[in-house]
Amino acid sequence: MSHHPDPNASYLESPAGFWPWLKSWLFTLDHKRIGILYFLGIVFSFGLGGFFAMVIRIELLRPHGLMLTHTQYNQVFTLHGAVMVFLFIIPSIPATIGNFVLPLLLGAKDVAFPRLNLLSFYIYLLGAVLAIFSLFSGAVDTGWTFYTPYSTQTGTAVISMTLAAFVLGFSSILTGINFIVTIHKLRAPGMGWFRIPLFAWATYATSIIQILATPVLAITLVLLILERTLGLGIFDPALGGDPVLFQHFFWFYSHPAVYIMILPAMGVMSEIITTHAQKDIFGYRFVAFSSIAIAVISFLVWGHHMYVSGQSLYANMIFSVLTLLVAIPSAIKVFNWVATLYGGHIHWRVPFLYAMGFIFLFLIGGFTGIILALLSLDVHLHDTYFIVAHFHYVMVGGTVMAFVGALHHWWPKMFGRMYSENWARVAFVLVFLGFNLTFFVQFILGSKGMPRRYHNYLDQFQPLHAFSTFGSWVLGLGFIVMTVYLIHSAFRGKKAPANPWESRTLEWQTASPPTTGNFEGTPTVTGGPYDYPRAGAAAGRNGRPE
Amino acid sequence: MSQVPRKEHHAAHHFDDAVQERDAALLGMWLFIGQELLFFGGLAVLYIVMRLQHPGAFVEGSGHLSWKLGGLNTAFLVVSSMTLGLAIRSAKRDEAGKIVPFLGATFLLALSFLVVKGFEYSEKIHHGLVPGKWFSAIGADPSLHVFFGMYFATTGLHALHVLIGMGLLVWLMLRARRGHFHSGYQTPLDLVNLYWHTVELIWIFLFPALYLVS
Amino acid sequence: MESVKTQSLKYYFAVAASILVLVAAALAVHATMKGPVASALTLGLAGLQAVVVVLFSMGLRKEKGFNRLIFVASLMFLGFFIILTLADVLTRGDVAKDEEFNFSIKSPVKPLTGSNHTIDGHPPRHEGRAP
Ligand SMILES: [Cu+2]
Repeated sequence: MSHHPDPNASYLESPAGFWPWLKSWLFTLDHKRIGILYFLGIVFSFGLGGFFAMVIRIELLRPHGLMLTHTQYNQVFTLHGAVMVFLFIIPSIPATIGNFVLPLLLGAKDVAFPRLNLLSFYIYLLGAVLAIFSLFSGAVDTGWTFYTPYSTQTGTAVISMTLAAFVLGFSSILTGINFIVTIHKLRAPGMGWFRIPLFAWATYATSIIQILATPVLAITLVLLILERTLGLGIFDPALGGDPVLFQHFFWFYSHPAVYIMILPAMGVMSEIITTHAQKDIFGYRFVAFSSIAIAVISFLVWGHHMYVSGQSLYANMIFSVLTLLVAIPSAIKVFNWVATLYGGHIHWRVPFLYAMGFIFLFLIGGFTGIILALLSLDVHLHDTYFIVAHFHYVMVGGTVMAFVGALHHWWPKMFGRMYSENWARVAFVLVFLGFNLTFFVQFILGSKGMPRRYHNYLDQFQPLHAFSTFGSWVLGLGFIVMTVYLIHSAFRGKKAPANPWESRTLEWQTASPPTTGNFEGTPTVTGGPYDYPRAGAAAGRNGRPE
Repeated sequence: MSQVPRKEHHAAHHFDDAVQERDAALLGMWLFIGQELLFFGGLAVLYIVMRLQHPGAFVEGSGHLSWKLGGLNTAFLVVSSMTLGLAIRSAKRDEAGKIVPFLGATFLLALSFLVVKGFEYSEKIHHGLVPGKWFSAIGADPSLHVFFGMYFATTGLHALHVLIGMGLLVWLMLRARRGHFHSGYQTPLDLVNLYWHTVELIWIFLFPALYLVS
Repeated sequence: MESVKTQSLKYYFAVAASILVLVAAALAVHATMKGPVASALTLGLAGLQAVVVVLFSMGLRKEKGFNRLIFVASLMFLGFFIILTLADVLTRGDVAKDEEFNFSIKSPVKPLTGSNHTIDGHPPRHEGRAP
């Protein structure tokens, strides 16, 4: 059944004929091909979630709605959230960039369990199919958080969507296990723990969360399905259950999940910044350990989503203090990236532009996060557009910026082609501007009292809502431009050299695109990952394979 | 030597050697056990909160369960864990003829566990103790259904794990018959062993938590 | 044929027997005692059985350091889950109870009384509602 490709040919090379070609992709065990398969699924999900986002923004042009009923509006924002969170952001960087780049970064031939890796992809696909089935079988309208008791009572398709999230969780757990074992066992000879590129550290921290938090989501969704179908009486107050307990369960996973989203993005930042500034990272160990610290703290703060849920005020206080702790490792990272830039040879290429965009937007997202962690302020801002703006600054301004930056950074490696630098700059400006136009006004809307998830609003909010909608069109245009030039590049782009950015990490020391076997022979590591020649110092003091 | 032909194992191409491959597999399994602990840990949190909120229902509900059947099931699982351990011991000692019988004994003990569980379930169904719209029992405590909701959710998910374990045991028996396991290679046996002990571990807590409440 | 070191048969019997003895002890506790102490004892005995399983059957006693760390870390995160959830469940509503004595921050605000949801006789406002 399985086709045995030549380890020294490009991984993109397939046997002749359509069916052998298709088979060589669908049964591939090559981590790079699996990364590309995920990439296709994730781009599709992003398009779907983005479509719902556009519908929401257009609907909000007018205070009393434009084209949707109340229920349809609830369904659209729920689907936007569920698709973007479970199908797009959570797997985005780990499953695509991680799968493709991680073994290369470590100098490995593959991930530890290639079959499990392919299985994770098919589980992801099954989850995606379930989610799309759910779309057409009475789309869910509970919000992506599935709060009880509403989710046990509404007539929309709760079960198929929660089942989809449950299945997607399995994919996430298996990927996490695979990555941790890969990082432990398959590093190239000479690559000690403190010579691992920082993206691998970030992936490691992410995998810890994926393995230890996702099972709690799984049990939560199983219990929700049982509560809805059988009426166990655990979350429904009418049956003697505790609906706030559902929120504890849900957020025990879903807050760490925010760090499943942002930690890989932070890892990407470290790679882009060191490469395009041609400089060693400032404070390697601090950056590495702050990833682990964020992963650990992320398990202790979930209650900040529940300040006004009826949770005990004492628990509120504890969660508020613990939440503020996350600011410390996050700030360490930002300071270290900025310090890395000092004295570097900065090339303002597109990946670097996205890295700068990330720092700027993540700062705003992070600082507003501190505001929301404070009990006294959150009570007023909770469930307003301030929250919406905050988490979009973290998730879109952070993760999506990093994902797109990573895509541009590793594009020449993934497809062996260059993209148009000029069009990529145009797209960056549109995305960055469009994002801020869309979401910055939402901070103002929220602080003026516009509640989130409402279909209709007071007339006085219309100018700001309209402004946000126009911004979303600029943002959408940016992504359309990006899609066009990237597709063009994949087929017609200029051939990429092996190492267009003169990076020092191992994935650039092999061909673009890499061979199926990744490296000729096993690379040996004799220095840190970012040993760039300092100004004035002699170049090439580490012995990397050329 | 035994009548079973010995089949040598070769490490996959992306590993340096068989030792690295085995270590990787065991590390992966321990990580998987970590996620199992959190999965059932969620049920433990639920149990604690529900028991705090409905103490009377738990005492009354536990009275409806038979500690004899529960204890019998505990014994089944404990002994099955032992026979599985003995299967690995036989593989390590190259006593290939004993591996399948020990695995078979483990399988039968697991099956006995499920049969007893089935009897318990049918009795509960008969007495109208299945939660939701089937619940027809009238207890002294108004939230008796919460206990049985917990009972069916936890033991049901545990039984599902037992069932998966039985599937794995069949797979191991098929491989053992073809001579895959010997002093040079027992990794799949070890992995299933860890999984099976996790299933035992969970039952060890479920038994007093559900059957021995007073 | 190379030979791998194995435990004696006695080892396997002893592990199983010690777990079964602990189970019997839990049943004895259940038969003779009542109340929260009995529950704590039976669950504590379950904990001991678990220790035997984890250390001797699963071999965590001799496992690699990192594999031990995974197990301990999983339990630690589960502990966080339990403790922080209980921090809410066990103290829910306590502030309203303690408020008068400890904080008095809410004293100028009087809770609403009466059966209808009106404030000073005015009906609730409905501005901004959808037509
Ligand atoms: Cu959070």
